[in-house]
Amino acid sequence: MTDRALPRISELGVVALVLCAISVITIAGSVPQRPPMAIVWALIGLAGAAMVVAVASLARTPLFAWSSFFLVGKWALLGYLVIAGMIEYAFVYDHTPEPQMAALSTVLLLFALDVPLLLGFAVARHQPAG
Amino acid sequence: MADIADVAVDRGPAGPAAPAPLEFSIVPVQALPAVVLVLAGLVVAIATNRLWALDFYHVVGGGMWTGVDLFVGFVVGPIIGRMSIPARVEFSVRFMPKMLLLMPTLVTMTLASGFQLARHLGHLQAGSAAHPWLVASYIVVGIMAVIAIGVLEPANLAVLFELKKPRPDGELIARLMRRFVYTAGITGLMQVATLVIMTRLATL
Repeated sequence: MTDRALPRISELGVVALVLCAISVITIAGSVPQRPPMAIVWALIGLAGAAMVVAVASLARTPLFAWSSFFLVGKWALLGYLVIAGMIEYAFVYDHTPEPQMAALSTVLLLFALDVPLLLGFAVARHQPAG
Repeated sequence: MADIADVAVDRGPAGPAAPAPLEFSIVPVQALPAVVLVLAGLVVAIATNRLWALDFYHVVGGGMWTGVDLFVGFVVGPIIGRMSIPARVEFSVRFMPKMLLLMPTLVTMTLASGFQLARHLGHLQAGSAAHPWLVASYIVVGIMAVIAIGVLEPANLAVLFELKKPRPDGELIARLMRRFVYTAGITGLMQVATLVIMTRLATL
């Protein structure tokens, strides 16, 4: 049960990752001025939407190797939560202003959820369904 | 990783009895304490905000990240491509799990300490002469992060899980490994750009 027709989770996950990266670059590139928050939030919104579509599409997929997906996903989630937590710690430590902090925290959350989704899907798509 | 793409799996003649799956650990658990130690040191470096500690983490992490990327992409990869198929598989099952821990650790060390270092030195300020170079480095890192996390790491994991099967699909492994070949040029270019940016920053 490999290479069956599956939704484009990887592509959506990478799109979300790219949008997250652009939003962080926009914020970091504007320090110490206030970045264009409307653009930042638009990018974050699009990244979130891409992830929601990916998760919804995956949830509707019949015959998927869910056990492999969750096996990889849970450990990846743990690892990437640690990484995201460390980055969050650095932002808190640096007294990042509130509007930027809210945006960066949201990006970090999306990042910590997106990578396990990508990794879990990459493995599970080539495993027998069940 | 040019030519690793040609990996195919040959476990002897096909027969009714499935061969035993390869025995290896996808995540080298014994190396986890070292990773924890390195990350704990990073937290201390950031918390104490000592210039030497931040510089140490950034230079060591960044140097190793760039070195490993270029060495694997342009030296080790082509060598593996000329090895016999069983030797390539043997190499991959030992090499790739280590990369799974090594690269995210190096990337985390480099980026976290680099950002703090830039803050410490005042390079983050938009008025600083270093600022345009820093923004360029954000873009370069962004591209490398997307390739590493979105393209290479999923392929790496999928290959390792495939190699665990009693009868791995050689065609699938070759297809997944081709991603390393396609992206080696971009990663190499980005790493060279990183070297230019960092040496420029250090001599401003």
